[in-house]
Amino acid sequence: MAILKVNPNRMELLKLRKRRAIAQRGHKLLKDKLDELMKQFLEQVRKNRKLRKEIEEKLAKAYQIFAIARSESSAEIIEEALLYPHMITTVKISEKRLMGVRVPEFETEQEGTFDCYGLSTTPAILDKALLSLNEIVPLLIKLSEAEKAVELIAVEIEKTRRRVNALEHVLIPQLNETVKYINMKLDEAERENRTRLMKIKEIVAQGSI
Amino acid sequence: MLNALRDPLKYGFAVGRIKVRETKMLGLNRIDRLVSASNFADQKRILAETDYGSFFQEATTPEDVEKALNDYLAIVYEFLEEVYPDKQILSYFRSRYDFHNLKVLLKAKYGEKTAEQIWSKLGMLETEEVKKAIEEGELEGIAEPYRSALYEAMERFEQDKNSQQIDIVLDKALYKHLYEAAKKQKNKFFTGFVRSSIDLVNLKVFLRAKSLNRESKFIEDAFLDRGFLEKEKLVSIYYDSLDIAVNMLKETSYAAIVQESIVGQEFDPDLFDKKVDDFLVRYLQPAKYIPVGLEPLISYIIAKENEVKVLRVILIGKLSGLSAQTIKERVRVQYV
Repeated sequence: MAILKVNPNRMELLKLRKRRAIAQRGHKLLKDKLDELMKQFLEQVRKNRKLRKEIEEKLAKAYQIFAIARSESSAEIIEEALLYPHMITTVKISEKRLMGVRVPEFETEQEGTFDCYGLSTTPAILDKALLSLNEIVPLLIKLSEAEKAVELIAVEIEKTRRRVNALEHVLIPQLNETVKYINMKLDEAERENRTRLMKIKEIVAQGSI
Repeated sequence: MLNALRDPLKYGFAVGRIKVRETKMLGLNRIDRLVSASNFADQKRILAETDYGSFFQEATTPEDVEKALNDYLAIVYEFLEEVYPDKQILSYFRSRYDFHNLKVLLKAKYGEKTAEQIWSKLGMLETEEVKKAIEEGELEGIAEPYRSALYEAMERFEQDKNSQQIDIVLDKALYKHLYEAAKKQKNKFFTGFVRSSIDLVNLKVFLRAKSLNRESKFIEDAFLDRGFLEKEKLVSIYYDSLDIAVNMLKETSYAAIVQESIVGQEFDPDLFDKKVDDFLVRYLQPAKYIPVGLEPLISYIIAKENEVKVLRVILIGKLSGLSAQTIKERVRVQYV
């Protein structure tokens, strides 16, 4: 493991020890964050899977009813019926924070009714098909909100994990090594000094004799 | 007595040709085979045995099927024109496509869309010319009853900007025109058919509006005139439970259709249109045994339209992945 390029003196040692303490604290905090994010992520994924399954079932059903409506009359009639819709769906997008991750929040509002066509010449089952599709739209928006949140949490997990790993496997060992190196250097200097002193003492003692 | 002399002269040729054609209709046996065919390719092979065959040779997608069916219908109307060149009768069958095109043109104009791909080619008006006239606001050149219907539809739309009004006005104008075209034939069977169709449309509007929670004003506006049923009576029971409607219709021949379409206290639209079509085909069936007259002529054309509808259900249904059971439930009663 490479060591940091620092002057091996007591001042640097103190600085490095402080840095190491901060790095270790940061590492612990990030690791806790990572654990919590993972927990949230798994929970959200589980929720999403349930929601997705529910929506997919509903969607398959709605598509089937729509396919029936579509087969009961010509494509032109169905397309004419839906040519000028007067239902307006607005999606308001805001942000909320989930474990420090900014995730979007969608709020849907529907105005008007979906039956924008004459009831005489269109197949009756068209109402049922559109009703079920209409029920699904807010759910789809909810699903997209939840899936985006999962995606953003996943990105955050990845980022946090990289930071934790960098601290755990690079910075902290480097700091440890450097501290150790400086300690050794200082000890060495200390020993040198001691030997020198002992030698001087010896010379002084000989001189005095 | 007079009819006995006149009819063979007037309809003899047409009915003769039709009797031959009736034998070539699909029939239940072939329809069953089409429903239980495992895929579209098999269905095409079965259709190859019939006069539909040449229309479906290249078809692979639902759009191709639509095109083939429309081309086929065009041939049916051509045949009608050939054997019985009566403008009123032809207009009876083809005006619905013109009214469809008017709806498309108006909605495209107000919605600022291009919708040429959903113009019907089965109408009699030149859609391009009508489009130009609508865009320029010069409706004088458009024939009646389309012109006044257009004026009214535009006026109604301008009032509240509700595109549904376009459909309501033009549907009413269409059925008024159908009734008048039928009335001119002075044939009770034919006018009876149109009036029954009007009743069934009104019942459909009644049930659908109720399940969509619309106000009674809506049906008052959307109801068609000239049916057998009294509109006012239907409006008066609009807010009551559906049992009351069933009870009111008890004496009429529509009771079964309505009753069978109510599940619990709610209208179930699932098979309503099929029941309506079945009712109308059953109304027409006795015409098969009338040796000569207008009845077998119009019945045959309506039966062909019905046959095309059944084919659409079977072919598009199969292409959309509907189960054989779901398709089978929707196969209409056949004329022959």
